Amino acid sequence: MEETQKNQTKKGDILKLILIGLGVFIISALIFKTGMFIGAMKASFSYRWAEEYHRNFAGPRAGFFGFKPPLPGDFIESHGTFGEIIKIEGNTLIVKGRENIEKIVLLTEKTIIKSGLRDIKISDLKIGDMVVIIGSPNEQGQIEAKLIRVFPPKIIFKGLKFYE
Amino acid sequence: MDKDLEKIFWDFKLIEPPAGLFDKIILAIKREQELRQTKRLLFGFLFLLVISFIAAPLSWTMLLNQIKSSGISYLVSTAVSDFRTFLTIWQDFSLAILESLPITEIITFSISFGICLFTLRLFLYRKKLLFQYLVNNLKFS
Repeated sequence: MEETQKNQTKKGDILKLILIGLGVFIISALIFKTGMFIGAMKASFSYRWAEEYHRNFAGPRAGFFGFKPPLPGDFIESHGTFGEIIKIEGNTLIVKGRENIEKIVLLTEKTIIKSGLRDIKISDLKIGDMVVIIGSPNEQGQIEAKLIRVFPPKIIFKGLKFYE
Repeated sequence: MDKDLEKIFWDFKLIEPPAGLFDKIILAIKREQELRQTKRLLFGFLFLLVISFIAAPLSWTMLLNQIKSSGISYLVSTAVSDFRTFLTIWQDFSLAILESLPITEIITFSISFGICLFTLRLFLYRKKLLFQYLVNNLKFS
């Protein structure tokens, strides 16, 4: 009688272990798959960004005096950026973000621009503004902005580096 | 010759081992095995303790630095402050946040945190055994 109970407990334990193992495996596989998807997206955007660098930033294809475009240490984020506006040209912004990477941000009529709680216009944006941009990448290695949020740097990011 | 041998063995007195000797030997072997296991456990525990003492704060600092420089906090803060906009463009928001996640640092920290928890669990479950071993060894030394 006792032995049967012991055997049943043992079987229950094994089943529990198998279920835990299976759960861990499924979660790991999902994380891995997501990582691959995100990595592929970043790699693709980085490739387009580097390919279109000379066109976007008006330099020669081979770079000035043989210098190639500044390659970032890691792949570039394609769906968002944060940093300082360094140039405004019509509906285009150039934002210098992490690792001093300059990204071209395109604004459309649908782009929401916010500063604090109020909506603002493109004309209200200034060079030197600290912004967070959310959007989607295009084929030219640019970001089509859907949301731009202007942050007052000294208040919000006090004690933190806005970008490196 | 054979007769002589028979005589010798005839006179030979068989000495019986004292009662319980076998049990004593088995008990001594078991004790020795337990001692060795406790010693292994103690060294394993100390090794894990040292590893987690070094790795946990280091990986935590690395994670904090990466969170600061990756800008994920700003993206999250934007998502929170513009929650309505977040709901309308949640896909781009989520992808932007996922892209800036410092994955390597998160994995490193998770592993070192896991080691810390395992070490703590090991200590809590086996503290009696470990202390007993230490006290006995200190007494004899």
